[in-house]
Amino acid sequence: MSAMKLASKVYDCADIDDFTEMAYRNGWTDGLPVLPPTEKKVRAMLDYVGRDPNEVLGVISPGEGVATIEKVAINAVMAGCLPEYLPVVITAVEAMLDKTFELMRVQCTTGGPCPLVIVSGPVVKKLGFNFGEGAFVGTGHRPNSTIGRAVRLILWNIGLGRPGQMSHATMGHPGRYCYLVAERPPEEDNPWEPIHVTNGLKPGDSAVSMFPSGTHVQFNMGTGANTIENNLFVCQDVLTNLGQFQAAIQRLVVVNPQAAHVFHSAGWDKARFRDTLLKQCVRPVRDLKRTGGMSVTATWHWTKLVDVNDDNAMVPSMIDAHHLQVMVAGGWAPPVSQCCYITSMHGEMVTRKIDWSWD
Amino acid sequence: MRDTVNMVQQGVPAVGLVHKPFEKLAKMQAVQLGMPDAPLLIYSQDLPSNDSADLVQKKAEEVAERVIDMLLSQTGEKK
Repeated sequence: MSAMKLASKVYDCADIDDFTEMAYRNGWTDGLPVLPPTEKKVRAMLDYVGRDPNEVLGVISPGEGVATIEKVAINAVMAGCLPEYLPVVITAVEAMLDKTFELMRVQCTTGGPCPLVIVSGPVVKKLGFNFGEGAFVGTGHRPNSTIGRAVRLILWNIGLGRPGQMSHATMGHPGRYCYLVAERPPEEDNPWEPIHVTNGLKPGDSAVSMFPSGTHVQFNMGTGANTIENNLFVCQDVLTNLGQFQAAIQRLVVVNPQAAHVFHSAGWDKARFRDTLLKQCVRPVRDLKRTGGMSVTATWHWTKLVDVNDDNAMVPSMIDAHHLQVMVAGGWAPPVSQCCYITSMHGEMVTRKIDWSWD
Repeated sequence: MRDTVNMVQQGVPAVGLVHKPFEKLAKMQAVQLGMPDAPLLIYSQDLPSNDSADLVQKKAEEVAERVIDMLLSQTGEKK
């Protein structure tokens, strides 16, 4: 075990019950119990990655907490992570600190978004993520649940993104305890290009993509039970609802693997699926005139995209391919089963390679 | 808030403009940044799309006046 000096304050407690109550009293938990970050467990994490505990990853808004490797490791231990999960957690933090992600607004806005952790590449099988049935959160699978929770605890304890204090989420997002999905690997019947490859990394890379999620909508495209043309029409209808259309934003569609196979077998690779939806996902100005509530200063507010005096002009719900992300996850159910649609809020997805091999 | 605090620390007059619903956030963040008395201008919540253009203009001018007053107070100057 390393002898590196740790910076964090040490607390004494009699036993696990004492620690649990201490964690609640001191606000160290999002409301669910946390594990005690003993020096032994924190050092095991730090030894695994071999990085200086004092190394600063960045400042977490809005609480202005300094995210050192040590502080990140402590929260990972509290969430129940194993040491080999820490490279994933560190990469998730680094991605959220990218300016494109707009962490300050994601933590504080009234819209109440939740960062979704998307894990893809060889790491999915190496660490045993659940990418099948119950893919979102991966209930019952340690890497899914504890890495997702570690990200939440970091935002809570280092970033102080707490409702009623510095987080002003009107409703909040149910993923604000743990929100993670692992992409189904190519060798596990995912026929489409991995999400990290679409976003500039190599197929052999392991990656984390952080998506600032505003919604979580399960929907049924009817794949296998109707024509592909009608499947896309249904998907278009979901992606263009007026409640999330005052401005063109980034959207994520998670397709179940059997549906992806139906499309793929019919000659629809991911790019064709995405680009066709991009063209179809429009609504006329007359519909958009019935919406309101978003500042016209938003980057892609609909009034900036078309002639507002032409009621028949068609407004795009996404501006380019980067703003429609597509991935495959979920159980091997009939293709007509659920897919998932998630909107971004304020920021955009950031993809980072995990600089670790687990070999 | 980071920008406001950084400017004030460098001796440059600054004011943080804060929409009323985010007052608590701004004040707590100012504390976290080590400047609990950071200059903040809290302006009221409104619905610009429901207000007339004249009213929106009037509100903006009122806020601008208050900004000027707060900036000048930091330099010791008077209007």
